[in-house]
Amino acid sequence: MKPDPITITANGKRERLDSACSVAEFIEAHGWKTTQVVVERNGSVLARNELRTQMLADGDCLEVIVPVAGG
Amino acid sequence: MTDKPQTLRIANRDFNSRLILGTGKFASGEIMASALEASGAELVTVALRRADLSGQRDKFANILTFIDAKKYVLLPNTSGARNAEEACRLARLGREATGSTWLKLEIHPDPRYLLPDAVETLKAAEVLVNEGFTVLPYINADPVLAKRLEDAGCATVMPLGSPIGSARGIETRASIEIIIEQATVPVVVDAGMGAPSHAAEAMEMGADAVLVNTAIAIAADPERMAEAFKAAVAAGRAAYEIGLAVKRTEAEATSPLTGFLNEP
Repeated sequence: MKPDPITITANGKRERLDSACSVAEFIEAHGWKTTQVVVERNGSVLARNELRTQMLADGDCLEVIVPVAGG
Repeated sequence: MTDKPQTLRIANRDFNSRLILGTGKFASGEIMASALEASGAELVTVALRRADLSGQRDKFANILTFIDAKKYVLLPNTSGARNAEEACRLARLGREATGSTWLKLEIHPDPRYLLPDAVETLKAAEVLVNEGFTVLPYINADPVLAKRLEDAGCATVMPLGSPIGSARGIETRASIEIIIEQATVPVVVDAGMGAPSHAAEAMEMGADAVLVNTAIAIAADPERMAEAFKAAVAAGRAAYEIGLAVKRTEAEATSPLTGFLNEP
Protein backbone atom coordinates (compact mmCIF):
# COMPACT_ATOMS: atom_id res chain seq x y z
CA MET A 1 0.00 0.00 0.00
CA LYS A 2 1.26 3.46 -0.87
CA PRO A 3 1.90 5.67 2.21
CA ASP A 4 -0.39 8.65 2.67
CA PRO A 5 1.06 12.10 1.95
CA ILE A 6 1.04 14.61 4.79
CA THR A 7 1.12 18.40 4.95
CA ILE A 8 3.13 20.20 7.60
CA THR A 9 4.11 23.80 8.27
CA ALA A 10 7.84 24.43 8.66
CA ASN A 11 9.13 27.91 9.50
CA GLY A 12 5.80 29.39 8.46
CA LYS A 13 5.61 27.66 5.08
CA ARG A 14 3.27 24.79 4.25
CA GLU A 15 4.97 21.79 2.75
CA ARG A 16 3.58 18.55 1.37
CA LEU A 17 5.55 15.39 2.05
CA ASP A 18 4.94 12.18 0.10
CA SER A 19 4.96 10.22 3.31
CA ALA A 20 5.62 10.70 6.97
CA CYS A 21 9.30 10.86 7.90
CA SER A 22 11.25 11.57 11.07
CA VAL A 23 12.06 15.14 12.07
CA ALA A 24 15.74 14.35 11.47
CA GLU A 25 15.06 13.13 7.93
CA PHE A 26 13.09 16.27 7.19
CA ILE A 27 15.94 18.50 8.43
CA GLU A 28 18.57 16.57 6.47
CA ALA A 29 16.46 16.76 3.31
CA HIS A 30 16.66 20.55 3.68
CA GLY A 31 20.45 20.66 3.90
CA TRP A 32 21.03 20.76 7.66
CA LYS A 33 22.66 18.39 10.10
CA THR A 34 20.67 17.61 13.21
CA THR A 35 23.55 18.93 15.31
CA GLN A 36 23.27 22.38 13.70
CA VAL A 37 19.65 23.17 14.44
CA VAL A 38 17.11 23.05 17.21
CA VAL A 39 13.49 22.20 16.56
CA GLU A 40 10.21 23.20 18.13
CA ARG A 41 7.32 20.90 17.24
CA ASN A 42 3.80 22.14 17.93
CA GLY A 43 5.12 24.54 20.57
CA SER A 44 7.47 22.15 22.40
CA VAL A 45 11.24 22.08 22.00
CA LEU A 46 12.56 18.68 20.95
CA ALA A 47 15.71 17.32 22.56
CA ARG A 48 18.40 16.42 20.02
CA ASN A 49 18.01 12.71 20.66
CA GLU A 50 14.30 12.92 19.88
CA LEU A 51 14.79 14.21 16.34
CA ARG A 52 15.33 10.76 14.88
CA THR A 53 12.59 9.03 16.83
CA GLN A 54 9.82 11.60 16.37
CA MET A 55 7.77 10.98 13.21
CA LEU A 56 6.07 13.91 11.54
CA ALA A 57 2.29 13.81 11.37
CA ASP A 58 -0.23 15.59 9.17
CA GLY A 59 -0.80 19.16 10.40
CA ASP A 60 2.43 19.40 12.40
CA CYS A 61 3.93 22.84 12.89
CA LEU A 62 7.74 23.00 13.06
CA GLU A 63 10.13 25.79 13.86
CA VAL A 64 13.65 24.91 12.75
CA ILE A 65 16.01 27.34 14.43
CA VAL A 66 19.72 28.03 14.13
CA PRO A 67 22.04 30.15 16.29
CA VAL A 68 23.21 33.24 14.39
CA ALA A 69 25.33 36.26 15.12
CA GLY A 70 23.52 38.79 17.26
CA GLY A 71 23.85 41.20 20.15
CA MET B 1 50.56 48.81 47.35
CA THR B 2 48.35 47.93 44.44
CA ASP B 3 45.10 46.09 44.96
CA LYS B 4 44.08 43.51 42.42
CA PRO B 5 41.09 44.37 40.24
CA GLN B 6 37.87 42.94 41.65
CA THR B 7 36.34 40.09 39.68
CA LEU B 8 32.81 40.27 38.37
CA ARG B 9 30.44 37.69 39.82
CA ILE B 10 27.22 36.96 37.96
CA ALA B 11 25.02 34.26 39.44
CA ASN B 12 27.61 31.75 40.70
CA ARG B 13 30.29 32.52 38.13
CA ASP B 14 33.37 34.74 38.27
CA PHE B 15 34.59 36.76 35.31
CA ASN B 16 37.88 38.63 34.95
CA SER B 17 36.52 40.73 32.10
CA ARG B 18 33.82 43.34 32.55
CA LEU B 19 33.24 43.67 28.82
CA ILE B 20 30.49 41.53 27.32
CA LEU B 21 30.57 41.24 23.55
CA GLY B 22 27.70 40.94 21.09
CA THR B 23 28.48 39.00 17.91
CA GLY B 24 26.12 40.79 15.49
CA LYS B 25 27.04 42.87 12.45
CA PHE B 26 30.64 41.69 11.98
CA ALA B 27 31.69 41.31 8.35
CA SER B 28 32.61 37.66 8.90
CA GLY B 29 32.80 34.99 11.56
CA GLU B 30 36.59 35.16 11.46
CA ILE B 31 36.63 38.91 12.10
CA MET B 32 34.18 38.43 14.96
CA ALA B 33 36.40 35.71 16.45
CA SER B 34 39.52 37.90 16.33
CA ALA B 35 37.67 40.83 17.92
CA LEU B 36 36.28 38.51 20.59
CA GLU B 37 39.79 37.32 21.42
CA ALA B 38 41.12 40.89 21.51
CA SER B 39 38.26 42.12 23.69
CA GLY B 40 39.09 39.72 26.49
CA ALA B 41 35.35 39.15 26.90
CA GLU B 42 34.27 35.90 28.52
CA LEU B 43 30.53 36.28 28.03
CA VAL B 44 29.23 36.50 24.48
CA THR B 45 25.78 36.86 22.99
CA VAL B 46 24.24 35.00 20.06
CA ALA B 47 20.79 35.22 18.50
CA LEU B 48 18.39 32.62 17.14
CA ARG B 49 16.62 32.72 13.81
CA ARG B 50 14.67 30.42 11.57
CA ALA B 51 16.99 28.18 9.56
CA ASP B 52 16.90 28.72 5.82
CA LEU B 53 15.15 25.63 4.53
CA SER B 54 15.51 26.62 0.87
CA GLY B 55 18.92 24.96 0.66
CA GLN B 56 20.73 28.30 0.34
CA ARG B 57 22.28 28.97 3.71
CA ASP B 58 23.24 32.35 5.00
CA LYS B 59 26.91 32.96 5.73
CA PHE B 60 26.42 33.21 9.48
CA ALA B 61 24.61 29.93 9.78
CA ASN B 62 27.35 28.42 11.93
CA ILE B 63 28.16 31.22 14.37
CA LEU B 64 28.85 28.71 17.15
CA THR B 65 31.76 27.28 15.15
CA PHE B 66 33.53 30.62 15.69
CA ILE B 67 33.08 30.60 19.48
CA ASP B 68 35.02 28.17 21.67
CA ALA B 69 32.36 26.95 24.09
CA LYS B 70 35.06 25.96 26.62
CA LYS B 71 36.44 29.47 26.73
CA TYR B 72 33.29 31.58 26.61
CA VAL B 73 29.94 31.55 28.37
CA LEU B 74 27.27 31.71 25.69
CA LEU B 75 24.47 34.15 26.22
CA PRO B 76 21.70 33.41 23.70
CA ASN B 77 19.33 36.34 23.35
CA THR B 78 15.61 36.53 22.68
CA SER B 79 15.81 39.26 20.05
CA GLY B 80 12.90 39.10 17.66
CA ALA B 81 10.46 38.26 20.47
CA ARG B 82 7.51 40.66 20.54
CA ASN B 83 6.05 39.45 23.82
CA ALA B 84 6.74 37.27 26.87
CA GLU B 85 5.40 34.13 25.25
CA GLU B 86 7.70 34.39 22.23
CA ALA B 87 10.64 35.25 24.48
CA CYS B 88 10.03 32.12 26.57
CA ARG B 89 9.89 29.98 23.43
CA LEU B 90 13.14 31.48 22.14
CA ALA B 91 14.76 31.00 25.55
CA ARG B 92 13.98 27.29 25.54
CA LEU B 93 15.19 26.93 21.94
CA GLY B 94 18.36 28.84 22.81
CA ARG B 95 19.07 26.56 25.76
CA GLU B 96 18.72 23.49 23.55
CA ALA B 97 20.79 25.03 20.75
CA THR B 98 23.69 26.26 22.87
CA GLY B 99 23.57 24.08 25.96
CA SER B 100 23.68 27.30 28.00
CA THR B 101 21.07 28.19 30.60
CA TRP B 102 22.26 31.81 30.53
CA LEU B 103 19.91 34.13 28.72
CA LYS B 104 19.83 37.72 27.56
CA LEU B 105 16.15 38.48 27.85
CA GLU B 106 15.16 41.20 25.40
CA ILE B 107 11.68 42.05 24.19
CA HIS B 108 11.47 45.08 21.94
CA PRO B 109 8.49 45.02 19.61
CA ASP B 110 9.11 48.43 18.02
CA PRO B 111 11.81 48.17 15.31
CA ARG B 112 12.42 51.92 15.11
CA TYR B 113 13.81 52.52 18.59
CA LEU B 114 14.10 48.90 19.80
CA LEU B 115 13.09 50.04 23.27
CA PRO B 116 12.35 47.18 25.65
CA ASP B 117 8.80 46.33 26.73
CA ALA B 118 8.92 46.48 30.52
CA VAL B 119 5.65 44.63 31.17
CA GLU B 120 6.43 41.68 28.91
CA THR B 121 10.05 41.52 30.13
CA LEU B 122 8.99 41.18 33.77
CA LYS B 123 6.37 38.58 32.85
CA ALA B 124 8.91 36.49 30.90
CA ALA B 125 11.59 36.88 33.59
CA GLU B 126 9.28 35.44 36.26
CA VAL B 127 8.56 32.36 34.11
CA LEU B 128 12.15 31.79 32.99
CA VAL B 129 13.77 32.20 36.41
CA ASN B 130 11.38 29.50 37.64
CA GLU B 131 12.49 27.27 34.77
CA GLY B 132 16.09 27.53 35.94
CA PHE B 133 17.45 30.09 33.49
CA THR B 134 20.12 32.59 34.52
CA VAL B 135 18.28 35.66 33.26
CA LEU B 136 20.05 38.89 32.26
CA PRO B 137 17.27 41.25 31.19
CA TYR B 138 17.76 44.17 28.81
CA ILE B 139 15.68 47.06 30.13
CA ASN B 140 15.10 50.74 29.91
CA ALA B 141 16.90 52.61 32.68
CA ASP B 142 13.96 52.29 35.08
CA PRO B 143 15.04 51.88 38.73
CA VAL B 144 11.65 50.52 39.81
CA LEU B 145 11.62 47.90 37.08
CA ALA B 146 15.22 46.99 37.88
CA LYS B 147 14.19 46.29 41.48
CA ARG B 148 11.19 44.22 40.37
CA LEU B 149 13.41 42.11 38.09
CA GLU B 150 15.94 41.64 40.85
CA ASP B 151 13.15 40.51 43.18
CA ALA B 152 12.00 38.08 40.48
CA GLY B 153 15.43 36.43 40.65
CA CYS B 154 17.24 37.90 37.66
CA ALA B 155 21.02 37.50 37.75
CA THR B 156 21.70 41.06 36.58
CA VAL B 157 19.86 44.07 35.27
CA MET B 158 20.99 45.55 31.96
CA PRO B 159 19.76 49.12 31.51
CA LEU B 160 20.34 50.83 28.19
CA GLY B 161 22.55 53.89 27.86
CA SER B 162 20.80 54.89 24.63
CA PRO B 163 19.00 52.94 21.88
CA ILE B 164 20.68 49.84 20.41
CA GLY B 165 23.26 50.72 17.76
CA SER B 166 22.76 54.48 18.25
CA ALA B 167 26.31 55.17 19.49
CA ARG B 168 24.97 58.04 21.62
CA GLY B 169 26.50 56.86 24.88
CA ILE B 170 24.90 57.22 28.30
CA GLU B 171 21.85 59.43 27.94
CA THR B 172 20.16 57.80 30.91
CA ARG B 173 22.85 58.67 33.42
CA ALA B 174 20.68 59.89 36.30
CA SER B 175 18.48 56.79 36.23
CA ILE B 176 21.40 54.41 35.86
CA GLU B 177 23.01 56.03 38.92
CA ILE B 178 19.89 55.21 40.94
CA ILE B 179 19.84 51.65 39.59
CA ILE B 180 23.50 51.17 40.59
CA GLU B 181 22.90 52.65 44.03
CA GLN B 182 19.97 50.33 44.72
CA ALA B 183 21.02 47.11 43.00
CA THR B 184 22.14 43.98 44.81
CA VAL B 185 22.81 42.20 41.49
CA PRO B 186 25.37 43.33 38.91
CA VAL B 187 24.36 46.25 36.69
CA VAL B 188 25.40 45.90 33.05
CA VAL B 189 25.06 48.97 30.87
CA ASP B 190 23.86 47.60 27.55
CA ALA B 191 23.29 49.39 24.27
CA GLY B 192 24.37 52.70 22.82
CA MET B 193 28.06 52.46 23.79
CA GLY B 194 29.51 54.13 20.71
CA ALA B 195 32.99 54.97 21.99
CA PRO B 196 35.43 53.58 24.53
CA SER B 197 34.88 56.76 26.57
CA HIS B 198 31.20 55.81 26.94
CA ALA B 199 32.21 52.43 28.32
CA ALA B 200 34.73 54.06 30.66
CA GLU B 201 32.05 56.47 31.87
CA ALA B 202 29.72 53.59 32.71
CA MET B 203 32.46 51.86 34.66
CA GLU B 204 33.48 55.05 36.50
CA MET B 205 29.83 55.44 37.55
CA GLY B 206 30.05 52.03 39.21
CA ALA B 207 28.41 49.83 36.60
CA ASP B 208 29.62 46.25 36.97
CA ALA B 209 30.03 45.61 33.23
CA VAL B 210 29.12 46.89 29.79
CA LEU B 211 27.77 45.07 26.77
CA VAL B 212 29.12 46.32 23.43
CA ASN B 213 28.43 45.16 19.90
CA THR B 214 27.91 47.66 17.08
CA ALA B 215 30.77 50.05 17.89
CA ILE B 216 33.26 47.19 17.68
CA ALA B 217 31.59 45.20 14.90
CA ILE B 218 31.32 48.02 12.37
CA ALA B 219 34.67 49.66 13.16
CA ALA B 220 37.18 49.78 10.31
CA ASP B 221 39.43 47.57 12.47
CA PRO B 222 37.19 45.59 14.85
CA GLU B 223 40.08 43.80 16.54
CA ARG B 224 41.79 47.07 17.46
CA MET B 225 38.54 48.68 18.53
CA ALA B 226 37.90 45.67 20.77
CA GLU B 227 41.28 46.32 22.40
CA ALA B 228 40.36 49.99 22.83
CA PHE B 229 37.10 49.07 24.59
CA LYS B 230 38.91 46.52 26.74
CA ALA B 231 41.38 49.19 27.88
CA ALA B 232 38.59 51.71 28.51
CA VAL B 233 36.58 49.27 30.61
CA ALA B 234 39.64 48.36 32.67
CA ALA B 235 40.55 52.04 33.15
CA GLY B 236 37.04 53.06 34.13
CA ARG B 237 36.71 50.20 36.56
CA ALA B 238 40.09 50.85 38.17
CA ALA B 239 39.16 54.50 38.66
CA TYR B 240 35.87 53.49 40.28
CA GLU B 241 37.53 51.00 42.63
CA ILE B 242 40.19 53.53 43.62
CA GLY B 243 37.68 56.39 43.98
CA LEU B 244 37.43 59.45 41.76
CA ALA B 245 38.35 62.98 42.83
CA VAL B 246 35.50 64.97 44.32
CA LYS B 247 34.12 67.72 42.06
CA ARG B 248 34.55 71.24 43.44
CA THR B 249 33.07 74.57 42.50
CA GLU B 250 36.29 76.51 43.02
CA ALA B 251 39.84 75.81 41.96
CA GLU B 252 42.29 74.16 44.29
CA ALA B 253 45.89 74.95 43.46
CA THR B 254 48.25 72.11 42.72
CA SER B 255 51.38 74.26 43.16
CA PRO B 256 52.33 75.87 46.50
CA LEU B 257 50.59 79.18 47.22
CA THR B 258 53.62 80.61 49.04
CA GLY B 259 56.99 81.99 47.99
CA PHE B 260 55.72 84.12 45.11
CA LEU B 261 58.13 86.67 43.58
CA ASN B 262 56.03 89.65 44.61
CA GLU B 263 55.63 88.65 48.27
CA PRO B 264 56.86 91.28 50.79
